[in-house]
Amino acid sequence: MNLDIGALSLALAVFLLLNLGAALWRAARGPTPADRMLAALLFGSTGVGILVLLAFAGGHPALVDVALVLALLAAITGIAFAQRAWQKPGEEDDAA
Amino acid sequence: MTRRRQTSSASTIRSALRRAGIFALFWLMAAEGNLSAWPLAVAGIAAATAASLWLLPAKTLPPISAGGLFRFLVWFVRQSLAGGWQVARLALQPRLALRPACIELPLSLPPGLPRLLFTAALGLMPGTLGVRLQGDTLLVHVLDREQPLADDAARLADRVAAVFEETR
Amino acid sequence: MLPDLLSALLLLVGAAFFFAGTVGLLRFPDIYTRLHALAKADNLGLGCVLAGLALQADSLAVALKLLAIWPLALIASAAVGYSIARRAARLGVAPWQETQKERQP
Repeated sequence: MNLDIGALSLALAVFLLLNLGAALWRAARGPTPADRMLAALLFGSTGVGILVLLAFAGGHPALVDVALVLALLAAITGIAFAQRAWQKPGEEDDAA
Repeated sequence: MTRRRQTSSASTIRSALRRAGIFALFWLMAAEGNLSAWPLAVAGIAAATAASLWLLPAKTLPPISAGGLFRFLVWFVRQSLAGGWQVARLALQPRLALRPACIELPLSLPPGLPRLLFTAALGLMPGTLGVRLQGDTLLVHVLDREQPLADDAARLADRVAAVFEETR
Repeated sequence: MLPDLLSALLLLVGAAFFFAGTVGLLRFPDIYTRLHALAKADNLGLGCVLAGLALQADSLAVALKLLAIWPLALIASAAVGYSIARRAARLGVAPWQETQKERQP
């Protein structure tokens, strides 16, 4: 028995792409603006997963760096979002 | 940002060295151990250290216990595995067995980094999601209103408190 | 052989968690429950995929790089998840409850 991890990675990358497509369709449909913000979550997890799988499927090791940078940017974006949402004691709640 | 000019220079130098070491390890990992671009690395590490000291001066960071942090991370990884497993089961089982509710949770941890870590970790643990912080209470959305939220939260708060205890 | 088998297993389990996250996103009734599904299941899926690929890495540095992605993704999910939930609450999105009759006043 011989396992081809490259081929498996490619197949799973396509599978995750289908997941991402379905999830983005759901996010785009809403119904509330908050639902649409789910797209920001999707790229940080599913998008990163697709990139690392492709790095191993096609032998492009640089894609791992792309995935690392994407994850880093997602984390920074998330912290920036949360910092805006973070309420300091005594501050007005609906500032924005 | 608060600027504190009276920060003792010794502690600033100590934390600068510590942070530079951490950034150097990051660079080694990103460059896959290749030292040929070392001038760039030195410049990058220096810039990162300067930026981190400017944005997060040594004095504004509460002391962190290495042992407490390690124990927190091990426990947290186990909890987030359990959280993913639970929600995956709920999503895939034929009958939708959600009994969600929003519950107000009084916070015992001090404001700042401990509360931030608490709220962030709560969102990845089984069945809980922080929604809104108001004063000293956090509104928590739970997937099952029967789940022992107060117990889980108390356990998490203990672990978070241990991270910030002054035991090095 | 054994690392390959373990890798394949981890990759498949990871994909299954991603799938569960997507199903949860499509099936769960409101933004809060969907956030639970995405933040938790997708992150577990990503963790499994990263661990499976780290076993295949040529060097320790590449393996560590892959594993370093996971905490970043966790930070992103935790922070974005909280921000979205808070935004939804501010927009006045009421949490779904299983029977409308039981809704509290």
